[in-house]
Amino acid sequence: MSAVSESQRPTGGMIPVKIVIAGGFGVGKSTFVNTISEIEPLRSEAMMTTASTDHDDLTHTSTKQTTTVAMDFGRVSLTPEIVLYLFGTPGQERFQFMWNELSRGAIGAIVLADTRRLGDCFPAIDYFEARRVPFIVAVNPFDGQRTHTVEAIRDAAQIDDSVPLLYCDARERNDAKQGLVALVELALRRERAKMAERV
Amino acid sequence: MTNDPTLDVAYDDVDGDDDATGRLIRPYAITGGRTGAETDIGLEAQIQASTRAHHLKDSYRWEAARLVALVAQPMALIEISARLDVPIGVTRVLVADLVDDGAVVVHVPQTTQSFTSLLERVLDGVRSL
Repeated sequence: MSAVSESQRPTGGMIPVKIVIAGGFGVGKSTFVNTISEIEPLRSEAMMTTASTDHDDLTHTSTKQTTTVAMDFGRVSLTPEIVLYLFGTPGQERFQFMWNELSRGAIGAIVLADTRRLGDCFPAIDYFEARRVPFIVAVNPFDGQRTHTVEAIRDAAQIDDSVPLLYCDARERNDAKQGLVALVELALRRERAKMAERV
Repeated sequence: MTNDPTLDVAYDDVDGDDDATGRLIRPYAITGGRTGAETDIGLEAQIQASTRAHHLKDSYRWEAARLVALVAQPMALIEISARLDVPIGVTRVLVADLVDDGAVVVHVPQTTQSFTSLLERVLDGVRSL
């Protein structure tokens, strides 16, 4: 990059921002991305060498495996200068390395939850909580039935009061939009609080 | 493409008929075995061909040539990866080499604004979706 002088550098680059869509397998992450994206969602692959150690193996050998992880993403222009990238993360816990990459510089995360399998969203919640990444929990009502109150879900999943929790039908543009709004509002509150602390 | 002899060998091998398994089976051959972990280009970083690209583009082959052609307009690293159908790490290495050559640039958003004011604009943006 240093080899390129200012005169050779084209202008007009957009400011990219990103939001991670997380949650358990089959909870509707790709649907969410598809609902909001202005392009047909794309799929990219990362290859990862993972070392796994079998604790029962008396030889103490570790084996390396190459894993391919696919992630779906979409984008939408928010203003003439700002473009938002939405990443659907691989749901499995063993792909947390990918979450590190995705969370770096992200505004935050929307953790999608399914009331039939609430526990599936716990790894994502734990992950973002531990790293202080702003996140909200969005309950995707698959049958369209919002049978539980948000409060009941919060109690059952023991989600902290400070975490915004809402119903969000991933197929519905307005629902997905409200999820994004809730997350960005949270991120903004957090950032303002941080600024206030520094003064 | 670069002064890295390893990379030249890899390209020659790709052209050679000894690679019966096909190039896409071994994507890291095109990067001399490097995985991209050593570069720090974000997934959302905007990449664009430089004004020098048209002088250089004929010296590139395969993915590098396709990459330069793809980024006449700025495109995110992740989108380049998806559209070229090569893994993210390989895309990173290709981009880093092309940056070294001066054929593409990684945009560093020229913003004097704080993160707070960026978030305010993002919020306005998502509310208008």
